[in-house]
Amino acid sequence: MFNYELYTLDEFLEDSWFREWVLHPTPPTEAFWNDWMQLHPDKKPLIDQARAVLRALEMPHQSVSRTEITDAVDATFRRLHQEPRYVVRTLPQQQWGWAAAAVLLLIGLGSYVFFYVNTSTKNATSVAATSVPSTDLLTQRNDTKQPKRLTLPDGSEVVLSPRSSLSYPGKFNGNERRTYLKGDAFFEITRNPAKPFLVVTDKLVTRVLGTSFWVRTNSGNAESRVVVRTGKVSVFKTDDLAQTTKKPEGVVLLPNQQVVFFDETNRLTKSIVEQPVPIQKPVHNQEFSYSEAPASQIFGDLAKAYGILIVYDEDVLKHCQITATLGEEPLFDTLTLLCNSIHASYEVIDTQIVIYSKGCK
Amino acid sequence: MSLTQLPEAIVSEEAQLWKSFTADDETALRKLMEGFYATLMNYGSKYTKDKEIAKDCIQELFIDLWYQRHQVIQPNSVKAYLLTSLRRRLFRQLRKTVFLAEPIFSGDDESFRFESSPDLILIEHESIVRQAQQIAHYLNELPRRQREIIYLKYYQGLNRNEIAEVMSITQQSVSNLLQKALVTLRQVIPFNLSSFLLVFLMPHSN
Repeated sequence: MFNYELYTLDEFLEDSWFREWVLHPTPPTEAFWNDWMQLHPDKKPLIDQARAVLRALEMPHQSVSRTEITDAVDATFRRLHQEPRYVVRTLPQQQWGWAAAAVLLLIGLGSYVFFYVNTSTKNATSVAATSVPSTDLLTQRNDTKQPKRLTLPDGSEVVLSPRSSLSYPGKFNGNERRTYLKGDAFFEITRNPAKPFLVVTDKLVTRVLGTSFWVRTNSGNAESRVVVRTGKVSVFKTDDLAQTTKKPEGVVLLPNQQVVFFDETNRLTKSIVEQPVPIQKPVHNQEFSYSEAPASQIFGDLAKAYGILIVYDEDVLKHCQITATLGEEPLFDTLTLLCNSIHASYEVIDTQIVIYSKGCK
Repeated sequence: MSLTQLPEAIVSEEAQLWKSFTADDETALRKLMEGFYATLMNYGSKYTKDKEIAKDCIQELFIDLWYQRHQVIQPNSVKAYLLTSLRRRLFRQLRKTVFLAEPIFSGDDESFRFESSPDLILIEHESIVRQAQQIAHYLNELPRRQREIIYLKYYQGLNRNEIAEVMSITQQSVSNLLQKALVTLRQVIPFNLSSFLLVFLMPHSN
């Protein structure tokens, strides 16, 4: 067993087992590292940093799939067998060009027919499955292993995850923009207060005016999740969509909040996202610098930056002073650091962060 | 299992495959290409945005290896050998393209940049993507050869010797350039990032 607890950042970077997990994850590496992080939650920031360095060096990220590799290798060895080597480099290259063009043309025609037939049948099945009203909806499916970027008729951008599909009308008529999602997607919605944008999934409906957020239903463990990046989002159960008489009961989500719907309990649970990000983009590299500042001021600033409610007793924290420069460390790391320095602690309760302190002398 | 066993096992497997293909075993070369394809594509993408060029160069590389299998000698590091060869081919190919059409290979500093792609956000947590983008930003401030050294060292995991071979410079130059890169990074990276990056950069001033 490796003694990973003692590893430093560069040791992780040089560890082949770690690199394999980040760059080419397989079930065994996933299982090992997820278990390991469960056992060593304090090492998560370090692991994240090592991941970030590898990802930076990998840029521009292009996933190379198994099939892509096999195709390239096959093509290479086909050439190796077909080409009488030194001939190809001279004369017949042009003939090969014509042959290749002919083949390409055939492939092109074939795939056009295939794709055309395919989309129309898939369209039909998917419409039936989601019980989407059949009024001329387009269905975009992502059967590839790569995320797929779509632009909707209103200019909104959607990044559709693999094994997911989105249905939407060719033109958004009427007083709303309604779409139907199966799987996972990230949405960046063009603002239009007159026409709310709806994402309908099996269990949840997400309703927004203009914002960015994730909808995830692909996790496979009977839960649906909506995660808000910017703006304001309202979420309610799909069952309530049909009820026209009463207003659907839902939750309103703000940035850095998420809602999870568990099939089992049939309930919507609201919480803070795992890794909150500041909602106001700081003016270029702005840092919060404090010199013997009251703790309450720092917590107040953090609350504002992340749009998260932080609850503390102003009186108790009155005499607690902190000198620190806060940058872009994850919010929860920052809180741990601040709390440690004044012998306080914090707890996340629903969408609030509560600071416990006995005060300072 | 000891710390060094794993990488050595991989290295010897590569060496074994090399030996086999030079003894006319075609499947061994297939396996080598399968194993290194993604790595080589990543390296190629640093020099050209045109995926097809990188792909072609890699194909040619393995085809040539097969035809020269009785002449090639066993390299110390298969990875370094392949990266070296790909780099040479890319340079040749890209220069050719410059003359023929629009300048894809536009000088020194434009290539080998670490630029974020939209796909990343979908496979990686947002906070990690943000950190990675910041790190990439600072790496891009370095001159091209220093960027490449950092990449070969920390992404490809090559040692000084191998980096010198790939970039066809002396080992001393590798040390000097790496040293320079680390000093610069220490200066430009702001406090909040350096708190961890310094840990990663400090012990490597050989």
